[in-house]
Amino acid sequence: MTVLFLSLLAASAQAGTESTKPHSAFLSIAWRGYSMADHLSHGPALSGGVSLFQDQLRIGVAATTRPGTLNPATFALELDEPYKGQDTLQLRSDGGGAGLYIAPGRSLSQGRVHLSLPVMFGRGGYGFYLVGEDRVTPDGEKPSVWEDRLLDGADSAFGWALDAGVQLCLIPSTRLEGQVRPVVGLHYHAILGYDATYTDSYQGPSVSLGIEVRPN
Amino acid sequence: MWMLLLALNSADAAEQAVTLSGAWSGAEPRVELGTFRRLDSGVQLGAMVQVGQARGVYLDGWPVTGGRTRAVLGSVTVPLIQRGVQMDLRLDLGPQFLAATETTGPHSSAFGVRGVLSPMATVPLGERAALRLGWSFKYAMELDPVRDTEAQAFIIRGGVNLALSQSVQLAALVESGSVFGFDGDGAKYLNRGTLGVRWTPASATPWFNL
Repeated sequence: MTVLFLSLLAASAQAGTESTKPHSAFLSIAWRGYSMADHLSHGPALSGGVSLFQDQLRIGVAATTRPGTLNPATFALELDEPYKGQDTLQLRSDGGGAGLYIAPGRSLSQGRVHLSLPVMFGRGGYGFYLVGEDRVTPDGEKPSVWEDRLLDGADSAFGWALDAGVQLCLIPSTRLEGQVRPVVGLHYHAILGYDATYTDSYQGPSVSLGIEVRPN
Repeated sequence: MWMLLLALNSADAAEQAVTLSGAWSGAEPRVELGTFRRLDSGVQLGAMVQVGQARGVYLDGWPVTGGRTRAVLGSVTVPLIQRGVQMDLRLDLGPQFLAATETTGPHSSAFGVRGVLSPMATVPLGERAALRLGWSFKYAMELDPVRDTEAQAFIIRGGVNLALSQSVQLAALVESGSVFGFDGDGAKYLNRGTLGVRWTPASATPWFNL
């Protein structure tokens, strides 16, 4: 993936020397709010690559993450046998996905709005983990060993990650000539075939708010 | 490493920079000394030495709450687009060392390698300032005592560079992103703020994409 990304950016660099400048590069950082696995969560997302044919097609890489550290939601796990005297454990969850990014798009409203349909396809996964004092295990083993035991070897699950949606980019008429733009999006994120012990589905809609840079 | 630092600084004095920065994060506050040289092509080569405190890092997946971290990194920055807004791709690569004084694990030291790939945009805000936006993909592998992925991380980055004078700049950067390593036993998130000073003794214009 890194090699592909470098190749795409190298192509962009060559394109950048052309006088007509139909091609460029783009970078985007955003924050996402998710409704996945029956709870609300949030986390950072990013993308970058080349912008081709007057921004009608973007190709690059992208990643989305849902960190457990920033999300206080816990997930109750009923135990057959007590863990440190507890019959129910409160787990946290984290994960994300990364992959190739393709976004066809077009300009609207005399070039003041850019509408795109970004799709990311790659690998991803989400898991559930012990938190706080529960990470100090009874026998001194690492937390991951006990997470495997308590969750029957499937404390997490990985698979193909698919993220698709619609994105609206507002192009302001500033002296930066619209090269730095606010962007909002509505997406659907899924790990295909997800099957962990705690849940057999980790997918759902998300909204994003971010900033993108595309040199004109 | 010091030979490399000296070599980078002893050559043509036209496009060189020396950087000193301090980075704060709960896991590893650290300082960094670096030297950079900009070639005629716009490519920037650099070398950095980092020394930090281990307050919440991981050694073979075991938490380390006391100790020292060190890293020696080489850096290559390739300019991709320069149209007012500049876009660069930077790669930092090198060995890292951890000496633990407080840990619940059986090991007291570790050696590994780290690579950080960072596409970054530099947006001019007048002649004396620039906004920096982008992200990083970091991969770090512990090689000894155990070969394992220490961290893979996607980190978003934003900051401001200010020219205090023609040859002195102030740089502030904030980073935030998810981390995964040691099969879930490692770090899980990074929040880091960095404040640095850059000395560019002979540059005609401020060196904002550093």
